[in-house]
Amino acid sequence: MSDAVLQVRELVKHYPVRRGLLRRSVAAVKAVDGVSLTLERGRTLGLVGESGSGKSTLARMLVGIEAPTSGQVLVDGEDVSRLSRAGRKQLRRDVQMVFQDPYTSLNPRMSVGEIVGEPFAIHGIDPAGGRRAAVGELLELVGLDPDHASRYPHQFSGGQRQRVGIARALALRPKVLVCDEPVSALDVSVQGQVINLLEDLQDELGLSYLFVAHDLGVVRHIAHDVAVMYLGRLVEQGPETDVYDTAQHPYTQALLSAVPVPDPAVRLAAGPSTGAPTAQPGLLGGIVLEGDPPSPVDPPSGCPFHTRCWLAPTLPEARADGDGRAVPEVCVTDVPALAPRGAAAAHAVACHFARELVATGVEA
Amino acid sequence: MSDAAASAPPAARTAASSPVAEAWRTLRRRPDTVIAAVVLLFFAVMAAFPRLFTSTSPRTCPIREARTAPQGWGGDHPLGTDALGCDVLATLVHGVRPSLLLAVVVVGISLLIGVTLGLLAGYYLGWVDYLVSRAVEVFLVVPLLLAALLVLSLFKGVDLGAGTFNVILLPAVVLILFGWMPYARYVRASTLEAKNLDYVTAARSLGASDVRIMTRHVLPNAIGTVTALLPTSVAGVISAEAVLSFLGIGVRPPATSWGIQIEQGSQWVLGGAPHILLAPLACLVATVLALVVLGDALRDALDPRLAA
Repeated sequence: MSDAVLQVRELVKHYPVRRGLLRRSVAAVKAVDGVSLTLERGRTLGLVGESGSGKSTLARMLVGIEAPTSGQVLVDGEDVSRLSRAGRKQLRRDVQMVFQDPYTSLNPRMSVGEIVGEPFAIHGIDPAGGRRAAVGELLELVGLDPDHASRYPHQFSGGQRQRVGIARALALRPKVLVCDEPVSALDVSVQGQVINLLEDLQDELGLSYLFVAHDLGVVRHIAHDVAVMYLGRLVEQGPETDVYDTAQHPYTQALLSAVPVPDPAVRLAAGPSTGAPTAQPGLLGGIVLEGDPPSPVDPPSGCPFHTRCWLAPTLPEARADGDGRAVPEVCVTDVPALAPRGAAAAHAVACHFARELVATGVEA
Repeated sequence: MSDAAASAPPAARTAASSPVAEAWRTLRRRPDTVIAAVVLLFFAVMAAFPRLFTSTSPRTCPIREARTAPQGWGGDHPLGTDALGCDVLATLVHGVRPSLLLAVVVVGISLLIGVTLGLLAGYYLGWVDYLVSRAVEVFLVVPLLLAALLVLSLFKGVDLGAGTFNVILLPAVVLILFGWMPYARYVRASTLEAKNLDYVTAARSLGASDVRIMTRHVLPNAIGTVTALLPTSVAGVISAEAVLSFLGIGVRPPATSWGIQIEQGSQWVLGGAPHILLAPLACLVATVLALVVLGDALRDALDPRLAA
């Protein structure tokens, strides 16, 4: 490992499902089921996946809001769970969170100055020059007028509120910002401004971002590396260009094919897609997945994606199973490991047939 | 919509002012608030200095002057006399102190108990919530009068003295014991709602302690529903005290209260002497209305979202 600021090893979060009079635990929602990640200093890791794939749970475990069921979170090489209470509080300063909804993430009864200054109060820090001055500097850093510190959140627009949320997260000089869909609640024009602010802050302060999103366009713009989650597991991970240009997992390809292309000329030039089963207007050869994601209480055996995989039935190894879907037996019995299967060593994918996929020449 | 930092939010004032100054400015702009404040001040002065308002003693009750009709200002009995011949105005004036004191003490302490328990139950859930919720249910199902009789028998023969506090001690104990539950339930419900909001999660991710989260983030946003309950609770306490007096554990003679007056006056409404009821009732209604208006204004003034 070169310079990992945040590492996650086999992180698991199961929520027990309790039933009956005695509240016995009868099952578990496997929200995050063994995820390993590495975030390098000064870089941005984009974490994508559909709703319910466990992105937000993972993010919440990283900032300490949720306790992992098992696994390790290492900040600068130190295992968070092995530290004392005080040590954990100290370490928590290094990893801060930017929330999705700027309308609910700011206390409506506190002024912006109080909100941004609260981290100092919680940790008993008195910055040089006093807290007021420090709050003013933070507001300036995120592009707000320091004189607005006495105003209340409702007096700001959505984009300005999100800047306040970023200023609060920056107060303790963290090394890592975990951004949980930080722009999905904002207007498109404002999204760009906030993304640019985050990029400027990264250059200025040397921050590392874990950027959780379902908007692949935004992730492509900001992320250096991309990890794709499905049903609590990582299915593909690698540098942004590799994942976007040569996606190897059928799920990643389906996600990418669903990104709308705003230019009709580009869509026409691309023509009908080659390997994908269905094409939709407005998309570049859209791959439409069938059905809903399976329940995380009882995920499918083997590869969690095999129940919806569009590639599996087309493979020569496919055998019809009980449900009438033809999939290769190995997809049902064996969990594919997340491992490099192509030319690039940094580009890992969890699919038994990633090679065949590359060979068929499907490109999103 | 521009997100530029320099563009001022429309509702914002340029001058930076403290929330207290802001609250005061909003209060002053509403005339009904001023009237309500004057009414409450009037009764407060009456409670502190009853002799400013009447020179007659509420304890001189010549029976032959019973149920005299109101004579207006200048007469011996401006508001008439009651069934025993006691001056209604004098009784009213001297009854302010125990009535208002009882209301403030009972509502204040019940609020404190209820809010604390409701907050703890809603925040921690688990066994804390179990204990608090069961306690609420137990106290809710015991009828007030039965409980009052129990307390009465417990304190039978105990001389509590005659000071203002001693006079209201027994009714206060009973009414607090059986009055804190609504606050606990309301606060528990709104705590459950508030504690999962993003700004509470944000505070937790910053490492804030439970006490800080509860007092700075959850409670200020959960207390709203309870403040609407307060003015009517005051009225409830004052009239409940009358019922307790009937059992002999309310404000005890020779001290008087509005509750006792209302209780006694209600027997003569159709007997040709409605003034015995109407005088204390008018005072009670005026107090409660003033509290409602003031409570509303205070809530609006302290909520930055509603400050114009």
